[in-house]
Amino acid sequence: MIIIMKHGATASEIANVSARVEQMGCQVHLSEGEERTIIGVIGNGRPIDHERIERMSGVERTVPVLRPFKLASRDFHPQNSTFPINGTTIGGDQIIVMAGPCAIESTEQLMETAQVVKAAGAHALRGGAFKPRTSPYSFQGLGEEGLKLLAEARKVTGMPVVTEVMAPEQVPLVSTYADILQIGARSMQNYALLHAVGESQRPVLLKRGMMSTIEELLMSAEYILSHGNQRVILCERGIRTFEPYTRNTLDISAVPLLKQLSHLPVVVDPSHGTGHWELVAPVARAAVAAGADGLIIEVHPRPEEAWSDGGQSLKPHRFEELMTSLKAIAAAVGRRL
Amino acid sequence: MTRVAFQGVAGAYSEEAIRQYFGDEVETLPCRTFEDMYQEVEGGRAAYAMLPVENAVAGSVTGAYELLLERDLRINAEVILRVRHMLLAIPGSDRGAIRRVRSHPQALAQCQRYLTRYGMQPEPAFDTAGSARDLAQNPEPDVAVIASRLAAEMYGLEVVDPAIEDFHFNYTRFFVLGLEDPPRAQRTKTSVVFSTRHSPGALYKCMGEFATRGINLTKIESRPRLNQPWRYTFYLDFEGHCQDLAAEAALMGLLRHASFLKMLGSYPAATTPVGEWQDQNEG
Repeated sequence: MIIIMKHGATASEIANVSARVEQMGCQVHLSEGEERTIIGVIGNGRPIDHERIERMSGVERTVPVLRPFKLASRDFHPQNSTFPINGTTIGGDQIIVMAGPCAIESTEQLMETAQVVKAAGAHALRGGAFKPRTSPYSFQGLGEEGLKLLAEARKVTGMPVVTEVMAPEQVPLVSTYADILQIGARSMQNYALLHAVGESQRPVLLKRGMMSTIEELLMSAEYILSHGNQRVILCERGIRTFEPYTRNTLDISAVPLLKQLSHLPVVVDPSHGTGHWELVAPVARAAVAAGADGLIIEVHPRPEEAWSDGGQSLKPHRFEELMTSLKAIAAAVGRRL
Repeated sequence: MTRVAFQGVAGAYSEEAIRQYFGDEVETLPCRTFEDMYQEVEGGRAAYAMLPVENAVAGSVTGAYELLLERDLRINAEVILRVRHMLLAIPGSDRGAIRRVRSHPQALAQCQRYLTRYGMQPEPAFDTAGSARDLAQNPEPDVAVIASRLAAEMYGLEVVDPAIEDFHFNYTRFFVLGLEDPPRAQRTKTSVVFSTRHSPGALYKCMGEFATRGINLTKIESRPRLNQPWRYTFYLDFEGHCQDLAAEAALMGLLRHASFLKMLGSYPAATTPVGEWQDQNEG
């Protein structure tokens, strides 16, 4: 249920509604708009006496929320969620581009990539240190050594860094190096991990599982939000279909749909979403046109030598070209890069 | 005539507080428990209730704060009563003959040094005024009670010693509770209760809302939340009215960090007569 307060309701009136909700054994989620304040109520399974709430001073009306996700829903939080990441804001006018190699391979590779993506206008550096690979015989990532390189790249370039965390027990370690914790597609329903990042103090980039519905993605976001972390970024990265030409089928409709259902920022990963560097730029442009708040793109100085995902990594000059074209598209949809 | 409910039997310290605040032109309504007192006001049979909330020596009154949270009466005023524990006995008694002293355990505790000095045996009873009433009905020459002057007058007991409390700042703070908010006074205080979310620095952020706006806090107390183990609520008093611009902004800020916030009321601030206890000599 959500409680819509009257325009100009006082802090005391809002406070007393919060206290009544708590007396009923429910949780309170406050959302202040420019016009009015909305109080989201997360129940405990028992029916809520909405008439008792409606009689309280300052309450305009109550509305039932039928969707299973509450904290992630736009009903609870009508404004877009925005939060700062190292000086830039995600979820606002600006489109945030996170770029970098799929996996951190060496100091030289990471530093070179970091410098070129920064020069091209990227806002954050991505790079995997813990890699979830389909085969146990594939390169598994440099681990903590990779995280140290990432921290060094951050120091040199001043860019915030985003990297994947694969297990709950890794969360404290990865949090000491990373600005944004990435939950990979394969971990989207690892609830212990969602719980752990929910209790961390870092923004979380939550990727949609390759076999997950939009509702499942939002329920995973709900896990993180319900454990106290309000800074969640949703990421569409393609889902598995019967189409073999592309690695995944990027669901562009997920972008406007997620923006409609949720207040959380939405970013798109056209690299994993398509699996082919030739498709990355067109799909990235489509994502921005569709209303994405950001992109996460794989860039490698020499993709043919990459230890993983070389085929979907952009060369630096192609990334620069893409950034230039994105500026025009962002402007066309009332955003900026 | 205005009716004011209190917990205890006639002559209780709460009734003294009613007399101090309302004067003699009110009818007092004794109640067995705090809960009963709440029901009298909620049901419209009394206009106000006099709820003791804390004692300067013994601390908070168990049960009072929980009711402020669970029920919805509003604080209309605070009353600070200087509790004067008197040793009462049947008329004609001599202090030297008194061997046993009956009263509420809290009153006995507050006069412990006195009782030890005169070799008197403490005997716990249900309440202060009740023990005075019982002694008057069944006189025993070697028994005294600790109760108020009001109780001595009501039950015809003699004041053997008028000030036997160990500390001369023995004040009890009461809230006058009613169904509505009181009109705004010049010097006001506001009481709220809230709970924080489980995140690092949550309480610090809550307190910061007041600190950065220069709002003076006069009390903070944490109490267990009686619906889950190891969860706490914080009771906070601050100077000012909840409709002051700074207070309104601080409360809105507090709401952002809190899991809930309840307004208990904005009411005229009472002053504790500091000079009074400083000037007095050990009794």
